[in-house]
Amino acid sequence: MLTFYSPGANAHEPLYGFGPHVLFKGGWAPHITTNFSGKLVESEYALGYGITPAWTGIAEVGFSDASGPYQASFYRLKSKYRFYINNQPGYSHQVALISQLTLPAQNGEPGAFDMAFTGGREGLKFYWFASAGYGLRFADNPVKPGNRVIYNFTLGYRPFRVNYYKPDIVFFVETTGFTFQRSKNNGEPVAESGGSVFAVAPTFFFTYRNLAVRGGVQFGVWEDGFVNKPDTNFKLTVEVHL
Amino acid sequence: MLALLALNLPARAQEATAERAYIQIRVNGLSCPFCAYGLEKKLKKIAGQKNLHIQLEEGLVTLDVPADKKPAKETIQKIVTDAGFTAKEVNFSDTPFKHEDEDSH
Repeated sequence: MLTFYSPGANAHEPLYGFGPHVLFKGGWAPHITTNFSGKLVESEYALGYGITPAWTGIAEVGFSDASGPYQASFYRLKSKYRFYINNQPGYSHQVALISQLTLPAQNGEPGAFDMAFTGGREGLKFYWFASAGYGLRFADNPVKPGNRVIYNFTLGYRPFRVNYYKPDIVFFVETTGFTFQRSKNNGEPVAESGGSVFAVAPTFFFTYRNLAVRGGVQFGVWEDGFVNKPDTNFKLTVEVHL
Repeated sequence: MLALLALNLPARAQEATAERAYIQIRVNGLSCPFCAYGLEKKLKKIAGQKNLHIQLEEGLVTLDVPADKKPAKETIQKIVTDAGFTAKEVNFSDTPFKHEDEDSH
């Protein structure tokens, strides 16, 4: 699973990465994300809530058929706190801190605690987002999986004029990289472990009023060490703001 | 009789207009319709509001409310902040504000 940070409860944010936007205070955002990679199907069912104008909480349940039957694969609690915002006519600059705890639903699978800074610009025409984070991984197992670093950079462009009462679409190019530290077995580094991957994904974000559909395809373009780059995969998210 | 009624109509229309207070908010940070939905939702909670209109490219929001229930400027600013935006200006008027995108809906 390389899509550690699911989208959702956000705005025009990366599909494969993350961004700083938070929900309006008191707003609800149910969303469903499905990822297809070969015969593997992973889904996330999530609900976000705007606790304050700057703080959004999200609860997620992941399902996957990776280990046989389609079943719950993880539970996740995510917090996004936007600590900087600069609203100007037609655009906004924002920076947020994301933290999330992921607990496995199946025995033997690793859990994780991730923190990341993410910032960017949302504008009438252009978007960009840049993010970097670090994740501690743990498992109820003598072999401790290596911690991970994630970084991503995204550019977005809206080809048409925007009107609040009409459908809207923005296109993005997302780049995402991961570096995994070596796993440890009883405290000793495991020789054939750790490595880095890098992937690129063209994506779109279609909205009409409070309904959003985003989708895209991700291509693994580079790998190093003992981590495989992600297989070409397709992702689709449907989200409603209430 | 009809002539008398016709003469009376403008006065009645003016009276109806005078019962409404018109609000124009210049909002910074408006850049996408999906994000602006939260602002619409919150502004629609203002008692008696009607004719809410959002102009994204212009960064303008207009609405009207009963004159005797006109919210304070600070109340409107807080609503906009809670939605994630910044109210740069809040203007009140006895007459409707012109929309710059009249064909939008």
